[in-house]
Amino acid sequence: MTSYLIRRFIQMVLVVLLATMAIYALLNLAPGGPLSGLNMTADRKSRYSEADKNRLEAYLGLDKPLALRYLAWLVGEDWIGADEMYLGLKPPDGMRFYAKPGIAYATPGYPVWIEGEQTGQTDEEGRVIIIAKKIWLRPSGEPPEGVVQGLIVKVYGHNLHVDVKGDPVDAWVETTKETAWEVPASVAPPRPEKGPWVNVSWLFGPYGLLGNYAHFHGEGHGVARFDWGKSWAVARGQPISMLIKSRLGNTMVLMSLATLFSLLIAIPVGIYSAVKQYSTLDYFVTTFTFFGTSMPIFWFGLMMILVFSIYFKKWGLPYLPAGGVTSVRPPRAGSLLALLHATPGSFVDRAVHLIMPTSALSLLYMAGWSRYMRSSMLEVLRLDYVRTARAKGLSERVVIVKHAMRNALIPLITIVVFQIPGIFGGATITETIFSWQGMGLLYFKALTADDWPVVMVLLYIQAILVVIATLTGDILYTLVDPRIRYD
Amino acid sequence: MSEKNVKEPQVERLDAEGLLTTKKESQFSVVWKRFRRHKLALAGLVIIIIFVLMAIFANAIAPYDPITDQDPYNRNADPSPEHIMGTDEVGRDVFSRLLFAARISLSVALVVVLFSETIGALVGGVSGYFGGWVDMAIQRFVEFLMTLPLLPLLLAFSSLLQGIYIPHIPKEWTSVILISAILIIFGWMGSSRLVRGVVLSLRDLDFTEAARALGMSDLRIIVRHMIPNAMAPIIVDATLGLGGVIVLESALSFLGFGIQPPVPTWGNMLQAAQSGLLGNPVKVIYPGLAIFLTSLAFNYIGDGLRDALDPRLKL
Repeated sequence: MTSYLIRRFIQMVLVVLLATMAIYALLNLAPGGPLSGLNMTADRKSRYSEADKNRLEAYLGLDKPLALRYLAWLVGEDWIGADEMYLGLKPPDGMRFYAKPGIAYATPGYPVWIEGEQTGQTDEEGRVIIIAKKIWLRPSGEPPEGVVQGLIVKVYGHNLHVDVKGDPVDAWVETTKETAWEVPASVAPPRPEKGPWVNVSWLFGPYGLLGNYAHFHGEGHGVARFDWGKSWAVARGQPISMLIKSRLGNTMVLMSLATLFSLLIAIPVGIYSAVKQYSTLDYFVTTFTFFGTSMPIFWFGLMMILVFSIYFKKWGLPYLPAGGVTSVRPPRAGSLLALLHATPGSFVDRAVHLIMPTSALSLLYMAGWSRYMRSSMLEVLRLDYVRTARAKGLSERVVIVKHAMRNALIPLITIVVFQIPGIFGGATITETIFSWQGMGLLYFKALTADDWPVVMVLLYIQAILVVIATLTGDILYTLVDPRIRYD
Repeated sequence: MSEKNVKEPQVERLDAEGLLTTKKESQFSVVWKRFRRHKLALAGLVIIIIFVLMAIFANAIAPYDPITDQDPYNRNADPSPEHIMGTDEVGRDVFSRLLFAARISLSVALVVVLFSETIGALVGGVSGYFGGWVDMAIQRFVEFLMTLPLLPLLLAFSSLLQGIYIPHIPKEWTSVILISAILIIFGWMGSSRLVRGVVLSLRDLDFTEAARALGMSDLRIIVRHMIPNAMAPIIVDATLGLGGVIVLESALSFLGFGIQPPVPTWGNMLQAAQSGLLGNPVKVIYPGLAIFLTSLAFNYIGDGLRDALDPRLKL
């Protein structure tokens, strides 16, 4: 079992790794992209110039080759361009990398002072070439005599394109290994004491193999180190972890309630209709499952809103809120909320908002699961050991509850286990219809807004959860069913 | 003793007659006889035939053009003799759009199911027939695809490929082809599983051995002997799949990631109706009901076919 678990764990990591590659390639190789819609505006004044586009590209990290971008997304970009890499295992330095102050901290858009000799030459684009002796990144205070002040436009390997303050001509600043750097400690913290050191400068350093791309512009630690990055569009500049944190609770409440309700109803109903096959209730259940599985949830949801919110209001009945997690204003007279004296944000308020999405989802799940439960039970009831149990003279109740049901419940493991990704990932359609501020709606919004980082993170979390669910299912099967064994 | 000897030939002749009369019944009529017993499946079949006829003759039935006939002074109108289901948010006749949407939704479903069942049958056939590491690799891949959450993936794919340009195709039809392709890519796994199961049970039987001994190529054996034997489960799976694809396609179109307006589908009509939910709520009913009825009908037909083709079959 241990070796099996180890093997499965390695497989899991590989599958997740493959999934991340697929996710990244899918989102980054597809036509279009976040910058494609930039110049759609008809207003000439608000159009983006080529330089603006460059800066935006650098800011979003789109100027680097795909492989490097993927690596930066996965394991972070704080160490790319670092002369030395530190792998610590103790928090808060745990899994942090250390970069020697240098070009690695040169971020487009930030101020810079340069002390160096002007060669008097200009490059093809008319920029003044400066060989730097000392560079201050993100400086503060008064500049010393004779320094050039400016803003970093773009970083090219170990060279900088600087927009010089007050000068119409830009500067092309070349740095060498002898260049001295002054970077505030808040930007480049001192090297931690402990930990083994791995020098990756030969590859990712500014003078390394990938030197021309090796500058980094951010502090991202990468999704593999639980830094989800920042949103581009849904909540511009906000950490994705915050976005997720604000929505995960809502999704988990909705999904777990719906799952719980459906299981509580689907299991007994499925078993009962299998035991009493061809009874009236069985016909009712099979019809219900047919309707439930054919019913498009988006239409069902809309019809619920139509009846319980819109028509109930017209008819003067206590109507339900059409969507949302909580109400913003005190409820209007005549609604169910007003009837229950629910103040916005209170428990009752939340519970009432939960009614429609939960019942829509539950009906959907119930239809599928009771059918599943019924066929599983029918299969078990046909087996010889059930007949043996009956022949022994056991009461029907004991036969069904103690013998048949226990085995019929085993296939249910698959369903419950694969509900795990759903509980975190939410139900996109249901949440969209009832504007339930959960993960599903976040995913939908991120897709509509071309917010790739959010989409990628949500898919990545899903991939991990699916893999975990698969493993959990397999392990649970071995625990429940002694006939299944993994070696 | 002697009496018995006389009677025997008569019995034989009677049997032969009986056998002859049963032989006349084709396999189709046997299936049809059993299918007819499933009343709900029959009702489903009637509904589907009506819908298909309406879709085919949409040109003749529809009083207006679904895209170009816009009446800007008569938007979101209530049902009237001119517009029996009213008009939509730009003044197009809802009934005409519903008919043409049936054409798109049904043909997308048909194309998707045809292709994905064919691909699934071939993959499943190869996987089951060759066995060994080929089977192993294919099955792991299929399992992986089947565990993936379908809807988020479909949404991601169609959202990312929306900007794509396909040459020689009118622009508004790009999304139709795109969505069909995406649904095919993620739709073949179920049938490959079914066919693999059948092929595994047939692979080592004598007739396969005989075909091999006669020098038939592996591919030919798979296509001529294996897949035809798996036809019953494939047909049932395809029928159920038709309903599933219609719901999936409408879900995508409803969320705005499927077939794009102005091409009408039930899904994007529902989406348009949803935005006017407060003003004109009844319009939500028609396209949704069409989706629901079609899907339900296909599900019942599938159920009936399962009973008719092979009562032991379970899906």
